[in-house]
Amino acid sequence: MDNPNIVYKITNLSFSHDKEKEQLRGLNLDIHAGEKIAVLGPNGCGKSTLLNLLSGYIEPNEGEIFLKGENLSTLSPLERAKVLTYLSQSGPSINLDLSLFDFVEMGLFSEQGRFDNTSKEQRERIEMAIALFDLSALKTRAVTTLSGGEFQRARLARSFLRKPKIVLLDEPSAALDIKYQLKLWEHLGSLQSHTVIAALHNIDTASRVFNRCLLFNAQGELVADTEELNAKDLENAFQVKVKFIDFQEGGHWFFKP
Amino acid sequence: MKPWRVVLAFISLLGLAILLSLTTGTSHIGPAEILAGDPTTLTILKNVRIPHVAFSILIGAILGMVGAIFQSLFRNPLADPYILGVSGGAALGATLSIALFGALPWMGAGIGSLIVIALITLIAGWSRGTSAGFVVLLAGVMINSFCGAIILGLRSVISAQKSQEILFYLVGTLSSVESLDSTDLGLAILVTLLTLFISLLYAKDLDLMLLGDQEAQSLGSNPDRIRPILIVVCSLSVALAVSFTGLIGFVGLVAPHLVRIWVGPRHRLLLPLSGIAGALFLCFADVVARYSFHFFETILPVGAVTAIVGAPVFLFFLKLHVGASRGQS
Amino acid sequence: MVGVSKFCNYPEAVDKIPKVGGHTDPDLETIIALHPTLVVGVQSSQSEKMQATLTKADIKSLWLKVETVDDVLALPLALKKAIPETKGADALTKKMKSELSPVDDIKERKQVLVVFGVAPMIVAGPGTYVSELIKRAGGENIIQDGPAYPQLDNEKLLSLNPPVIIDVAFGEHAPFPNELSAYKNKKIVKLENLDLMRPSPRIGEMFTFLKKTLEVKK
Repeated sequence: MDNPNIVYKITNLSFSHDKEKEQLRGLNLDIHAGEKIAVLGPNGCGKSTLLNLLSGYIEPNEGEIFLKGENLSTLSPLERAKVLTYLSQSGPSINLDLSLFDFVEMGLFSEQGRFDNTSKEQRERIEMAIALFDLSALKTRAVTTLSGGEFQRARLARSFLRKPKIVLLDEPSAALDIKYQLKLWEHLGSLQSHTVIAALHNIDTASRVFNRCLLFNAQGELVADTEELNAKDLENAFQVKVKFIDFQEGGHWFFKP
Repeated sequence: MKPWRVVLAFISLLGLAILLSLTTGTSHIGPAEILAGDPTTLTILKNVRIPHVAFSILIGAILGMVGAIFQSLFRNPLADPYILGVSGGAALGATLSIALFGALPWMGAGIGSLIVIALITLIAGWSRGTSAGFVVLLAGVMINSFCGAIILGLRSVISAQKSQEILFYLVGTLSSVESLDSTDLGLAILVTLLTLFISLLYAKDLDLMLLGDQEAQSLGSNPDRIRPILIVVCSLSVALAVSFTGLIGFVGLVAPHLVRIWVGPRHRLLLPLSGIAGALFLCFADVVARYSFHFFETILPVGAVTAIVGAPVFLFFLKLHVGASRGQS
Repeated sequence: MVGVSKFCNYPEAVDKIPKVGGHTDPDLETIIALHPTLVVGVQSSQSEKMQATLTKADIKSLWLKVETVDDVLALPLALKKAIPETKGADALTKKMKSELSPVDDIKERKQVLVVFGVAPMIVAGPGTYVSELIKRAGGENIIQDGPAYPQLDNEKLLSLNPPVIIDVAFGEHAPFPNELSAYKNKKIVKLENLDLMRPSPRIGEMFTFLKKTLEVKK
């Protein structure tokens, strides 16, 4: 691979759930280390699908994805898990008395051997990740007793516990209070060398963190790939009239239909 | 309760069960006679009680571990070691063996189980992902029903005495272990250790699979590869167990639940402890089955004892657990 | 005789007679098709129901109790009573009674265990047909209490250590433990013809076998 700085090289990517609807078509994209990318677009445009493809869980119909120079489809789940962290949109429904601590600890699987115990140092990392989202008081609680927001924070804690520097997040702020949304963006911003790709419903509170936006329209076409979004692109994508309100201080954008 | 305390408690109980099993039986030989070293006593110990202890522990351990693994693999708290149709195949093999050759149900059972395992392995390849478990489970239930129906049909065709023999086998009995030799014992030990090894090897993967296939994969596990391996190893273990003792029920179903109540769902502890709990349960049930001779002038089939003893014990612990967790939240 | 049960196999001529099914589940249609004048069966939990069914189909039936030795001895005359044309009932009764003259006046009754199966070990308990025959032949069933077909284990077998073991198990099975006296004294006797275990007019043969096995000394 020529450029070692390219984390993901996507060529001619196409994917469709069934023969009728093609979600992504002929997508070409380079993603560089350290970029913080927001994937935006209306529901059903393929945001989750893109992340799923980037995580390697599903394979494209056409085209290839190269992760750090290697063809993603040749990697095993373990190899992938050592290099990237992927958080899907909604958590699984778990019916068991798994404690929050144990739940977060599972993030260490790709680092440990099958017979390894969790070391003291690893335990400390878990505690820190839990504390990051104010979950310390709940660490012995069964995961089934957590609220939607607490559970999502636990999933985030698990994601950030992990070492990989490529982080894929699908709607990470869903179900979170604004306090924790801000916490999340703050933490992401602090991860300087990490490559973050997040699918978001609304850009609002996150705008400070992301330096690149991929905007898709309802047909799954990439409408814009830019550092700054303009009203015209957004209207095109969301099919809604848009007005920008730019707050200089905070640097946050809001757009109102 | 701290996990190590629970492990210690279970092991102590197992030790107690072993002691009981060695010092009680259908005759009046007890600790005094054993210490005196009378030759009949030694024969009885060697030919009867020691094989009963050894095999009840080994078979119980296999049933406990496999029950726990299947309950996780198939996300079904009602799963037991026989759910994949191995029991049906074994029972059918045994029945045919008795009906056609008048003997050796154990060999027939072994062959029947292996055929079913081959079938199940084939079926396991039909689908991938979380639904793979579902497909195999349904196939197993169908195989069990099919074999059961054929057995019923056969029973009306064959003689009453053979029919009775089949019934005993289907209920589950440990009496056949009295005629097994050291090769059989060696085989049983090997298989038990293999099951234990596989349990510990994939314990973390099973934890991850609790979260669903996609989440498990995202964290680094590969359920599509592990699921068939576990199914094959467990089915082979169960086939062996069934070929020695017939279908002893309840152990594989109840032991994991009891253990889960005490130590939670993490498989690192759950699986080996389910093995110990299963061993303890079956050993104890065997003691009761043999000792009941003193009351009923006949030994009870151990499969009946596991159900009679197991159900109330389980309900008791269930009540305890529900009460505790209600107090908790 | 126009029809027999599927278990009937003696004498050989019986093979040619049509089979109607089991003792508790014979096939009604087959029976009707044979136009029997009388159906003779063995009393069981199902016989009342079967009698009702046959009566509804306009077929006469007779159900005889065949459980004890006395029942068997009374069979020929019971049949003659129902079917007056029967020949040889008196002679047969006389023959059976003489073959079965009880062995009395015994100094010591040998204890016997009758084994039906080995894994699991099912034996004959008190009150069973073979138990009664053994007593009549001058021996005694070593199992005196409990159910009719108790299950033992090798431990119980070893502690009972019966002087005589009669093996009526079907097919091959694991050998009995060598520590048994019966094994050492070669007093484990296999009954080759298991049909003799049934209550039947061949009761004399069975009785002779038992007497021989017991080697009764007065």
